[in-house]
Amino acid sequence: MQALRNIGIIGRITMLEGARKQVFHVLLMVAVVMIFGSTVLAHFDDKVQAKMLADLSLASMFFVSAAIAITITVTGVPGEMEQKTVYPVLAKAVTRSQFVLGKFAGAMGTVAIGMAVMALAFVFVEWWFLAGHIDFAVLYVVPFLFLETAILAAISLALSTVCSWPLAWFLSVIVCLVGNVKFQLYASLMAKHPTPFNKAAISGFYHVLPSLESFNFKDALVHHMTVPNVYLWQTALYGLCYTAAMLTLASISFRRREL
Amino acid sequence: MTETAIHIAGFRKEYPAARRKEMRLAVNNLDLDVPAGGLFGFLGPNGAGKTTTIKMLLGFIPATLGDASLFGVPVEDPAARRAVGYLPEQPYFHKFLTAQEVVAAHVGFAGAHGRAAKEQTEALLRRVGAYDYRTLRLSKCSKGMVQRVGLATALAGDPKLLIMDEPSSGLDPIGRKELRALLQELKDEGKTLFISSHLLSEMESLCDRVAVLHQGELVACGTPGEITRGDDEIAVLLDGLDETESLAREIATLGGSLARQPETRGIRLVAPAAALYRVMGLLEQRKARVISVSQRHETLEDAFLRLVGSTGH
Ligand SMILES: Nc1ncnc2c1ncn2[C@@H]1O[C@H](COP(=O)(O)OP(=O)(O)OP(=O)(O)O)[C@@H](O)[C@H]1O
Ligand SMILES: [Mg+2]
Repeated sequence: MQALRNIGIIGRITMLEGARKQVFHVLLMVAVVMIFGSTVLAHFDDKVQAKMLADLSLASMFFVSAAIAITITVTGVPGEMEQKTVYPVLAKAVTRSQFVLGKFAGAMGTVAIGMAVMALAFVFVEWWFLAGHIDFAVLYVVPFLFLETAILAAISLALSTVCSWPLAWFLSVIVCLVGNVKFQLYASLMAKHPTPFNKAAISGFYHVLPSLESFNFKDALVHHMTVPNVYLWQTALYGLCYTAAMLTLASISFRRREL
Repeated sequence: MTETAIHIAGFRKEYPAARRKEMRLAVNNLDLDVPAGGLFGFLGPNGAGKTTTIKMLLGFIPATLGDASLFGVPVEDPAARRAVGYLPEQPYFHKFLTAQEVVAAHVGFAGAHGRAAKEQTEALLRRVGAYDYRTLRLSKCSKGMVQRVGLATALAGDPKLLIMDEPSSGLDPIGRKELRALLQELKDEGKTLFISSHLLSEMESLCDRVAVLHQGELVACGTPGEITRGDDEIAVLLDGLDETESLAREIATLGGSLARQPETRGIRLVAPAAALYRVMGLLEQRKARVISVSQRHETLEDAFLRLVGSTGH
């Protein structure tokens, strides 16, 4: 009980800090401007195209959420160590795992607020420019985007406990990019008939890297396809397990750190 | 027999030095027992290893060797810190938060919630004198103001044991006086205070026991009375003497010493109080002009300088 409360308090502090940093205001403004701006780009035949609008808006939504999540988690733990703000917190009966989980909770809370703002902007733009048309698929596309961001946040949190924050940031961005094109990349690398060793290395990476692409239901929304429920559940389960595994790694490695 | 608040057995800490493979010894072979109740002064010059010891006590860094416990609970167990309040060397807090938010968070960590938490937060802010600027962001607070907020967070949850690293740093004379009053108050409440400092004149009247650390090793431990030299000394100030060599030799045989004071061109003579008349006899023979004779008791500061050497090395 106290453990959950500690995590909650650290999360709340992280969110308060996040909410007061101007970087996040700017990022959020960028996203909203991009969503509104996509109506200009999606302007064909004197009509706003629903497909392009959804495509551009959701893409900017993902990138801004990912940027917020990675920035908060990557600077969270090293920043607190550098500024020595961890000491008074950990001197109380707060465990290091609780600290790591609290940081994660805070980052995701900030992302949730940002995503809610962006989703509202997107729904408003759709409704306004497409004459009252609202696609309710947003209701599951956005939560999956959130889950995808959670995976990224957990990865960058784990990275930030083992290396300096610029390196952790760089690696997180790489993971984000590669994770989104993993399937094609795997297929094209395997098509080149690699040596057995390389083959093992490639498939090793393939299995360790998160399949961020699976969380992208943007195309389904754009093309009005229905996604089978089983697939949704499987993806959600995968996302939760991956996040949990990364958070476990993060707290184990933070527990071993000298402060 | 009183309870033991802090028990340290054979603490040793090696930090990796700049060059690989070499280790830098910060704390060596430290054994210490701090009884519950009262104020324990943990003294030592800069770099003596005070902060390092405190960090090991709080589980921030593992000891290379040795172990410790707080109220019988090993420090590796986070539960050991449940009854502990800690004030870091230079308290840093989240710059974007206000004093009230920071203190409230710590009251929360200590297990209070709801109305009780709110009341405790307010009481703590008032107690350390930070109530007036409770809604100011900490980035806009002065050093002394932040120090007070740090004190409030250390006191959150009414801990039995308070570990403070240089609590008076950054405070003005009024703040220091208030701090002393607060420390006395905490002592009267029966709390154990473990305070690292090098401001000895300030600590002397408050400390029940002191330990002196020098280059990572314990050089003295006991009550201030045990550490300072029991026997009193006399100090004699003389106007310039031409020839001091032979006098110095004779004074040395009496267990005293002689030092020129360049700023006044005078000479300062220190000797055991018991040798007063023999010293005066020697001075009379030499027709030395005595400016003043005073009796003095060794202060904690004198003892500290004697123990660690006046250069600190
Ligand atoms: N993280 C570290 N890495 C390497 N050496 C360190 C580290 N922290 C402290 N030291 C070294 O350990 C020794 C003891 O440092 P410590 O901070 O414990 O001193 P201190 O007694 O608190 O001094 P002060 O009164 O200046 O605060 C110093 O020689 C310092 O250089
Ligand atoms: Mg120190």
